Amino acid sequence: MSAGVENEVNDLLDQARRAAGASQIMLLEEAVRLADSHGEVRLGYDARQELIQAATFSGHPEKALVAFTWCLAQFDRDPAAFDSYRLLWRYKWILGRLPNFPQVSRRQIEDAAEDMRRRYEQFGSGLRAVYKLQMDAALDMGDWEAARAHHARWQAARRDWLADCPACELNREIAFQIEAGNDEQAVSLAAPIVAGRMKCAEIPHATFGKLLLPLLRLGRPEEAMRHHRRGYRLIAGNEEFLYEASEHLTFLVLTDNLAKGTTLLARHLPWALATSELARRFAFQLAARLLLGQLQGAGRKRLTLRLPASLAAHREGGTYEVGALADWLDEDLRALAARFDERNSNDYFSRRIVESQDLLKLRRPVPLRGAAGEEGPSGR
Amino acid sequence: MSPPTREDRTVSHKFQINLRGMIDLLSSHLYSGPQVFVRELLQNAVDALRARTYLEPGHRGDVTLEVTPPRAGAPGTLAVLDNGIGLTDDEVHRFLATIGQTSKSAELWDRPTDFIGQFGIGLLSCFVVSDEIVVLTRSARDRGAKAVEWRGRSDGTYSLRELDRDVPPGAQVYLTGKKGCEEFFEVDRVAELAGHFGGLLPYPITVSSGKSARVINEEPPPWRREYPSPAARRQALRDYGRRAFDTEFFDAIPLRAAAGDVDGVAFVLPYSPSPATRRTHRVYLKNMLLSESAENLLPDWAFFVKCVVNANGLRPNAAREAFYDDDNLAATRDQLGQCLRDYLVRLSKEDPERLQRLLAIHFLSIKALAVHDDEFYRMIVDWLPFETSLGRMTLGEYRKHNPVVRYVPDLDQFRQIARVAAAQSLCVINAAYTYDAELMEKFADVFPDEPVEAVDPAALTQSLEDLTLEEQEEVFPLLRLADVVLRPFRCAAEVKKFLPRELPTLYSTSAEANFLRSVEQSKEVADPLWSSVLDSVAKKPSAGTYAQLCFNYQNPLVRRLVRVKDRGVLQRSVQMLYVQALLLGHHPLSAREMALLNDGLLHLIEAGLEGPEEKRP
Repeated sequence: MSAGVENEVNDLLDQARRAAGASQIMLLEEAVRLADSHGEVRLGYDARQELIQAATFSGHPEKALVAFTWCLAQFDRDPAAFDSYRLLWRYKWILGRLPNFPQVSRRQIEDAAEDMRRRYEQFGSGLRAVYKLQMDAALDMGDWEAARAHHARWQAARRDWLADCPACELNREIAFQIEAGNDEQAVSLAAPIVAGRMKCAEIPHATFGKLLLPLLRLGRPEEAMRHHRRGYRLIAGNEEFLYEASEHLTFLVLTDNLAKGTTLLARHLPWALATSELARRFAFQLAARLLLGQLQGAGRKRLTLRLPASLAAHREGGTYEVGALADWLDEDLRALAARFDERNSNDYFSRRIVESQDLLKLRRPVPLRGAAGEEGPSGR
Repeated sequence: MSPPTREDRTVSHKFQINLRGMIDLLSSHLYSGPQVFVRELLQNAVDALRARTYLEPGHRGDVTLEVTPPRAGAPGTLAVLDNGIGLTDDEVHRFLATIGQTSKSAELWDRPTDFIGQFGIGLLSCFVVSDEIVVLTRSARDRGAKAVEWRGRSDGTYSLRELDRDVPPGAQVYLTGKKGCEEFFEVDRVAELAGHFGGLLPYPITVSSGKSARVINEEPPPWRREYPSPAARRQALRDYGRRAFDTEFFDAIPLRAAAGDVDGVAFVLPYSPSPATRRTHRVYLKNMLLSESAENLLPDWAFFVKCVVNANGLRPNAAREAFYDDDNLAATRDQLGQCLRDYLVRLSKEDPERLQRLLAIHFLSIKALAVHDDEFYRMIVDWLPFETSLGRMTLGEYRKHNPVVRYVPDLDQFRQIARVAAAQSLCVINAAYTYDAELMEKFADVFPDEPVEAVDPAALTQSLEDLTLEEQEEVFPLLRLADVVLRPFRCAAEVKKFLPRELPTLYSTSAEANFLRSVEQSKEVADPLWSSVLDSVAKKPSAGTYAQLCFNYQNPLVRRLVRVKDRGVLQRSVQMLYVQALLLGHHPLSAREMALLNDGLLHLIEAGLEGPEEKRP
């Protein structure tokens, strides 16, 4: 009986390894259900470890969170039975996403960071990874002073076995420097990533988008356009990169590539509406709103989009009035900002709405140039 | 804080570089292994031949590798002789002894993009296998120049002298095998490495030892040869694939891209690969092997092939393991993708049987292409296999028997629907797997006149037959009680009529309701901190997250339940049917649901024990 279940679960895990995205998650959830319904804790644990990874990197951190919580509890019951390294590594993925949910309070985020810190110390790791996550959380919540303090701790801590890979760390440092207003430094820091000398599973994917605005501000639009073309291809097919999609969309609006921008809107807005991570939805909708404003300015009245029927603004047949959609986005953005600002006890998100309009000062047409590699993942 | 200023008396010094240490570093980091010295030597020779051909267009260049294997205590030696452009003594200083000199500079070689190597770094790799490098060379550009002999040693010193004897124009490089490097001075190994790195080079490369000599690149690569028939070509290419990768490939597809000046062959893998793993390819740059594991050469969907290609017009990246990702590479990628696409289209017309066998292995890759390419979609979609409630079949087979294309984009829902659908002899497609949902959504766009619909189980429950007014009144007590019993489990009750008759209930749930089930399950074990985080995340402003248990009025058991008056019995029956529905749907039970099951089973046993005793007189 038990061997049969084990074979079945392993078979599902095998299939999952050959799948990607939504179907990978589905197969792993199936494996979890199967293990659970036979009371196989070990199998359920292994399947969940895979699920945490698949869900984290295809844009479903809420599923990862639920699976992680279960594993953490099983681990605490019998620490000797499970591999601590895998679990402690996954802790980073979970904590890193919590600030994206406005339902999760500041207190809960701080407590979770404290819990992580305790466990890292308990298992003899340094705290470099913890400091970095605390900096990330502070940045996500618009607390610049706290971010600076954590940044200093992060940079001072030694690299250890649970620290992120050098490429990921550099990517965060670039983000920090951009936030600090050091565009030039950020761009030059990125050189080894841009040249392909530093890379990992998520880098350079996540880096190109970050460099677009700094390069526009530095008056280097051609370079930015090259980064857009190389970078967008890498992120276009994975919901995990919704935030990066918003960076590329903003760039297209600011360089007056509204037609290409509209294809990005059509491709990624359904992701934004489906994601449970409201901070990412907010970021993408901000970029979408910027695009709609420019479309209105250019006299465009209607758009065809395939949006979920559950949406309040849904239109049968998929034809949307640009103006009405913009109004709906405004309303939704304000509501989201209010929720985040309340959680963060500041006006960071409301300010982002205002500052998004200021970006239009950077506007200058830059041709996409050449049809090559223009159309996303298929290259066709 | 400003940096200390340089004072006038400061003397500036040059860095002292320890060549020995640098060679060690390079050999363990920059080079993939000691064997790359063969590549570097071939590169230098070939670049010198190209330079001479510009100068003297009729010149017939060749390269010879003379091997003296190590024997009886004497170290092995290798001499690489070319009749290329050669070097003057001034150039020897500049190129052989300056490490990091970026290229054969434009003044000397007026078409710099035609050269592959970097002299200084290249020659350095020879120190990995030889403590001394001797180069004899005479320039072909300056007929009056004398031959020179350069001796470089791994301690970082070199000497140079003019030779009075006559040496033909070109270069001769001599290596003496270090201890531990004997294998690289055996003739078979040298020939193998020369073939590996330089098998495509357009100049004859001879490997000789004593009296024996053979040319290792007599024939052009198989995709550049002429064949009597397409079948012969296919066979020759597949033979080449077997030799190169020790794999019996399914098929071989010639590749050509004007962008990047690329030619080569794509081998169709005989097994289905994971789309998640990166496909790597063997690539040559200007006919010299660049990498065995270049990644970014093909469109993302083309993970069903492994390629061997040569590119004359692409730039290698800094690590020299792949091509630099620029517009030119993007255009190349498109054109190579087009070659693969054309091949598939041709198969569908000329060899559908082969296409079917290919699709059985590689449908995932082909589906990935179809998702993004309307025209290709139209042509291929009927060939693609899908899972349906009546087994696996191609969409073409499905459409032959089903006027409307019906699909379910969710695995859970598919499982629930499949049983009902089968009983109603409805065939539905399981579109839960990778690309299938997108392919189904696209169907309406590509074939606007063909009917297609996404079936969702909630809607299916709606479309089941409703009860008459009298029947509704009849089931009302059952329904009211079931609602109360199931509310703690976030489940609502309904009664409808449907087939199969044997099915007492149909449990349907939504992605959201499923998620909440998993949250409950984790909360049962989580500590207070994470339990509260889960609560926060699961807190949704929207309601409507209830699952549904639909009773089947056609089912005899349900009909008997409707007439049961005993509330206790009724309650337990509803609970058991609910648990059974969960188990049938492969849903793991929560602690409370498990308690229901235990409770129910115990009662069943008690009832069983009571029965016979009561009957006893």
